[in-house]
Amino acid sequence: MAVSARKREKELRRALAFEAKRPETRTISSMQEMRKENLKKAWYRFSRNKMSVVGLVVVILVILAAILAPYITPYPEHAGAFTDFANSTKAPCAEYLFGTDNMGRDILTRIIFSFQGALKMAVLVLIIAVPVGTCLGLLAGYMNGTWVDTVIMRVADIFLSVPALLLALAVASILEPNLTNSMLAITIMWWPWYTRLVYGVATSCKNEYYVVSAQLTGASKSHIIFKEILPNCLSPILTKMSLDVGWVILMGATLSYVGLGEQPPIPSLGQMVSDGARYMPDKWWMTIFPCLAIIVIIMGFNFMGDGIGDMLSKGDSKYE
Amino acid sequence: MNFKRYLLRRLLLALVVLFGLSIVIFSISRIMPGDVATMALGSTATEEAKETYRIANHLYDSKPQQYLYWITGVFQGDFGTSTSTNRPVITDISEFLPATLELVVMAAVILVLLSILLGVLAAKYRDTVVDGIVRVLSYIGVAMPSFVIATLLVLLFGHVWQVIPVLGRLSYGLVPPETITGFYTIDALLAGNFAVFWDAFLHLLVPAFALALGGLCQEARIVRNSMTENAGKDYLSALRGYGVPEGKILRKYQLKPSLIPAVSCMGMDIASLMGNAFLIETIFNWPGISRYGLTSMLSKDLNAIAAVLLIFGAIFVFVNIVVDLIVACLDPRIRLGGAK
Amino acid sequence: MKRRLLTRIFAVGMAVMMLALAGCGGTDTSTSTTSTETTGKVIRMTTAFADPIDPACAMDSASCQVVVNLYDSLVYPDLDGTILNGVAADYSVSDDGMVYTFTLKDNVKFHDGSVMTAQDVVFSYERMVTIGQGYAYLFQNHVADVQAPDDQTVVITLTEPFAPFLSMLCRLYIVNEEQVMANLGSGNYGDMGDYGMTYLAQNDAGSGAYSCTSYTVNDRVVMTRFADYHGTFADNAPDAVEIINGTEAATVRTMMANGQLEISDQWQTHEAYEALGQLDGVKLGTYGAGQILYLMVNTKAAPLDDVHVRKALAYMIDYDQVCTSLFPGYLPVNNYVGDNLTGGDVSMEKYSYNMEKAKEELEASQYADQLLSGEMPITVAWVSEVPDEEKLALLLQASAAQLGVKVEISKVAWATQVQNTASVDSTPATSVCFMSPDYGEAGAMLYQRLHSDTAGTWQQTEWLQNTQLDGKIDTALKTMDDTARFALYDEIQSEALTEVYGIAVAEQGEQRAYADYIYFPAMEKGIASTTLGYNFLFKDFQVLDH
Repeated sequence: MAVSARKREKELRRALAFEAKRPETRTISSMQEMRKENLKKAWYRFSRNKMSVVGLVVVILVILAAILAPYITPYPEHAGAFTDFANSTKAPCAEYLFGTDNMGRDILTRIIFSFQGALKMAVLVLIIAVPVGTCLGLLAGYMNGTWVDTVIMRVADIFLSVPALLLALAVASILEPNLTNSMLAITIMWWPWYTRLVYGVATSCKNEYYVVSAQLTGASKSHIIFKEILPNCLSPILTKMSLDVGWVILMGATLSYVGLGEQPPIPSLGQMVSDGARYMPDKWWMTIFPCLAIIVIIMGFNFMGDGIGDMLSKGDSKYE
Repeated sequence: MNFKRYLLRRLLLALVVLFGLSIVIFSISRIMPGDVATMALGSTATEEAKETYRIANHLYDSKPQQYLYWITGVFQGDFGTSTSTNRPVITDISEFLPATLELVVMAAVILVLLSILLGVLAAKYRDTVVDGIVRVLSYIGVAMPSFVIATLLVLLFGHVWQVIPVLGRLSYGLVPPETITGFYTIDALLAGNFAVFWDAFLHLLVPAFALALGGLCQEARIVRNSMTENAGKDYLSALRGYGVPEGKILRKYQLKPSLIPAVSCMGMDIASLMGNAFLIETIFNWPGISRYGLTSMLSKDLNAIAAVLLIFGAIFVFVNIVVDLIVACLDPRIRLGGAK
Repeated sequence: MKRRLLTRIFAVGMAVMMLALAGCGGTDTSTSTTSTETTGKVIRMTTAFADPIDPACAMDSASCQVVVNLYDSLVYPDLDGTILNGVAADYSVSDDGMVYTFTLKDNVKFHDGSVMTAQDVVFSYERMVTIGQGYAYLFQNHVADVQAPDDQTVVITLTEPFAPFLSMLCRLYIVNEEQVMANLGSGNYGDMGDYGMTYLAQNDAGSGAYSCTSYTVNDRVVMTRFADYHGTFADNAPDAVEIINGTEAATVRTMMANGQLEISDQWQTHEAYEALGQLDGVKLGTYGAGQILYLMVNTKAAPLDDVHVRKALAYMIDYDQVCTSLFPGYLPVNNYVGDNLTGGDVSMEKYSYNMEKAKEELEASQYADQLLSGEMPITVAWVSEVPDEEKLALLLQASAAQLGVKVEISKVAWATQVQNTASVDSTPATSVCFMSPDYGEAGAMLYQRLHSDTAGTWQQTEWLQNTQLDGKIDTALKTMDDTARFALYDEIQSEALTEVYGIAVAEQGEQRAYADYIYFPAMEKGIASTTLGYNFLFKDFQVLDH
């Protein structure tokens, strides 16, 4: 016991000494090296929580699977309009790992192909919602106290005042049901969250010295907004985005469950669950596997999002 | 004084939001492509009938005028007639809303109790199996869409292990109690009919649990984390030094401050329970307003869609105010400091 | 204060939870003992509600099942399509077929005890036509006038002779004028307010064999036997009928297993029916109710303007597989309109699945090269609201692929399909569509499918606009003599088959599971009514001892 305690103390002292010397001794010669150093630090922060790494692996696998779907799935033709009534509703077996659906299509294949739609939806929704929400939030935050602020933030409040799912359902149900319209519906619901987030950061840093001094040196408004304020908002935005991918997928799955998302024969997870539910409990594999796929994909993105949050936060991570 | 002004400001803001919401909802319900009258009356309706419908619903007027007609109606409690039930929408809603509220209240109770219970357990047995289970549960719970939870629970309790009834509000053959509050459980108790009460109560459990699960897991995590954060605080050591019993310390001095971050989060979650009830009600065959809303969305019943959205919005806004007030009451810093 | 309140809420909540947890153990006993079963002969049936139970609006299967029991019409169809007297004691038709004179039975009482008069019939007609929903469109172009010269006599004058008028008249349900007028709400119809629509959406004002004793929207309708009914009940007719909304497989199965449900709905999956059939004392049955699955074609656009291509399509469909694996329970169609319609019951030379012949026909067509090389795709449109239709499209695609013909599947929303079919250019080459006849005669289906009046609607994407054919249909419908009329129907049918004006693929089979102590007329007799709802005249059902 005594030996090990002393040993640990020694080690600690050595580490401290190394850290103390670091700025002088380990000069950073090039930008490249600095970037490398930063990346290392970021990876360290990210990987401190093992779950984040698991999440990252899941996400990478899902993305790869979606891209390579036509090559890695056992029956790529089952992803579309295909029927094989002789093999319909087959239980999981060596030939069909996850069983087949009522049209005789391989469920594993359809799950992998449905990742495509899910990811496409998440990416497109965020690509539209985040810039729009961010710009409005920056504007409102910068013009804090003026009518611009009031209008933007009240409109955002209006959209935030109804459960997102509800309004998305309403919009999607009135338009013709397809992937584009369900993406539109979700996008309409999503931007206000970013507006509110950015608004908070922007109003607080608006009065910081660097912004005030930029104003005094005669910097243009757009310079102040995009070069001074925006960089401060980036890390919360990125953190939220990485977490939101999972949420958008969840929302999309819900819409397609009701029949308002991707239309058959293109597979989507929600639609597979709702189709399968009619065949419960005897043909449980038609429901259970898509359900699990949804849980895994959303969990993957959530874990990864947590990790990115840890990575970007300045101080030590809050928990664990 | 500050507090009153804070409340007043919140209420005014809520009014503005609701007004804006009504415009948004109205626009949503009128952007529908295609002929509204045909959608409402069906493709075989005679031309005369469609014409009567158009005139009665002011479809020839300009959109702002239509909005005015609609909103004046709403203020008088007239949301128009539902094309799928042929009744005033308000009648439908007053019939279906209590079922949803009963479900949501039950879910809120489950949410609050179980999340605190699990959170405290996880904090108390930190870094043990219990903590691990709560953590895993919280991860899974957050990642499960409500329809997945509901479908799995129906599979479990409806087919595999039929110990609790899962579908509908009452078992077949039981007569619903006379409507007083619209809550079957309360009405049955008021009528002194315990058999019906018990049956209604059992029917509530699984759907309410399915509804609460997502929020519950998250909240349990938050309670657990703030409990552990507070566990190391000096004032707790001081109390222990004074010989205050451990149980009392846990309940009174450690739990209470730890609840504040959880409560505001719970409030948000409880407010959104109504929105999440959509698929839960459909899957559990629960005759509530959410299922009514979904049915009307799928059958493009415009008046019903607008009314359901507006009522949900109003409830959501109201619950948010209440939650903020509760948080203010719990946290003296906010209560005394006034509006944040 | 607040603190105490919170702790109290917490404590109460905890107590409730404990109670709940404690209760979970003893569930099965507590629910079964508390159940207060309805006594007497009762039939309980699940269904999927959509329309209200107002006879002027009811059009879907659930509401029709209710309305035919609550209300009477002057005449009504038997299962085989024969027209029976409802509240009419007798009727006569003028020689030119233009004027129908009905004498009412003198003992017909409404559920509130008042006596039905001819004026009620006139009122009901006006109400239906003014509201203009439901089946009003049937009468719109045929009826000129409805009069009540005295309390017992109703005179209906037509705009032109129309032989199947009586089949159509089954859809005129007679409401109690007095009761409706006493319950008017405010509405769009001037003096008539809402014409009692709000009231009749959940109450009945009829004279039918059953009266509505309780109605909960989207939940259930309870009907009880009407003691003063003017007609006759079967010996063991049910005293009460309960129609329950909800087609969830788990619920249906549990209720049937517990003896809480006598008849299942028709919307279960094939697997679910098989599971129901395994239950003790439960039978399965199927009947065809006249709904035909058509593959409609656009005969005015390439390549289907060539009859050889249409014939090739007809040979490409594996009809047996459609009725066995695609839609288990569906029935084969031996002609153009289905076997169950009055005047349509003939077996004709039909196309069968034969890829050789399909190939021959294709090669004989003017588009042979383009089609066989896959250069010219054939579009199959199906309506997104009816997912089952996709299966047929997929089947066709698979067999066409064997010959190298490319079939493109296009999924359209119902509203879009209605719009698309309004002009020749946007009408899809082929469309999968379910069709029900407006009334139970072959003539109805022939008119809906082939007459120029319906060209450019979803009912006829063929765009025939063939005046000669129109003439044949019109003559047939005006021929008052049944035999002569049916012969004309046959002639039109065989023309439609040779020219392939669309392909009648199969007849929808209405499958149901029901308790073996129930006498279900349509199932036992093997003849089903093609008029929606009339397979559920509960006065003819029997609840046997069990």
